[in-house]
Amino acid sequence: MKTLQKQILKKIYSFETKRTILELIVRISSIFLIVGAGTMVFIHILQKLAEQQTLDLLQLFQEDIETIRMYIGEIMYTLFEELPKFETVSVLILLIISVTLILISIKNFGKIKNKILALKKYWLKH
Amino acid sequence: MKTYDDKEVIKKIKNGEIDHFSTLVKQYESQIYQYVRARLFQKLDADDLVQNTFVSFYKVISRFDETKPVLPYLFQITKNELKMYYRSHKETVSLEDSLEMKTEQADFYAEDYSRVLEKLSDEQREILQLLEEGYSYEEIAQKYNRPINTIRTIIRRARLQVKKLYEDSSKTNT
Repeated sequence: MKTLQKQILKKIYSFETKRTILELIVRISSIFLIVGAGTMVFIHILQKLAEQQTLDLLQLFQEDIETIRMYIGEIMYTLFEELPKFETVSVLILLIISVTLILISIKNFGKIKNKILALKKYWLKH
Repeated sequence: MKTYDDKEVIKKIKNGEIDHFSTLVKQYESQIYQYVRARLFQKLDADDLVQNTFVSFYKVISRFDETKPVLPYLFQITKNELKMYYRSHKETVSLEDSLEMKTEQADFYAEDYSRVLEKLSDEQREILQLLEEGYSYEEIAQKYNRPINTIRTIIRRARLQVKKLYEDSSKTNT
């Protein structure tokens, strides 16, 4: 292969290596950040519910089926009423974002894998 | 490696198999290089420009319509790169320098003009100076008590002489 062709390919591979590494870092760190933030807000909600003794309502599920069927609506309504609204909405949004990001990553997995394999092959050769 | 047509190669590159880009480089590099080399004297600059062309193409390949031919697109990128190259290598003069140069030129011409005027006859010189001061042909004719056509002839001859003297002085300067 001619020198100029080699130089072109080297530039392409250098550019792609940087782009792929940056893409991976951004993707992985954003998933971790969003999932982490979601988990923290969720723990905060649980702590708040525990402080309010709202979680005691869930003891209903230790009762027999008939009692559960009778009170489930009322219990769920009370639980919903006592949930901290802002935090709950935040958790839901974070959950949607993280699921979307994970789905996109799964969809692009083949492409990223091919890229990494091609980059590995090139850099091991040169 | 199995040979593919451009459409398949681009599809594969879009799918992350970037090693197939070498096929495009091998196929079109010489054509692009010849095109650039015909327009640039510096070999290093030509090499850089060809490299930039392929890198630019690679950057947009994910948006490239694989049903379209590659070569015209590459040529279009090359033309843009050449335009950018010419623009960045165009000689520029700062506004300050340009003003300085213009002032110097104006000084030079003023000096030269007064020297040229000295070589004209008194009448021609005076008439030209009156003309510069804003007098009309009629006013000059009245002032010198001469027919207007005579004044016209004097002015025309004076101008021709000034032109000739300028040309002579520029020849001796070079």
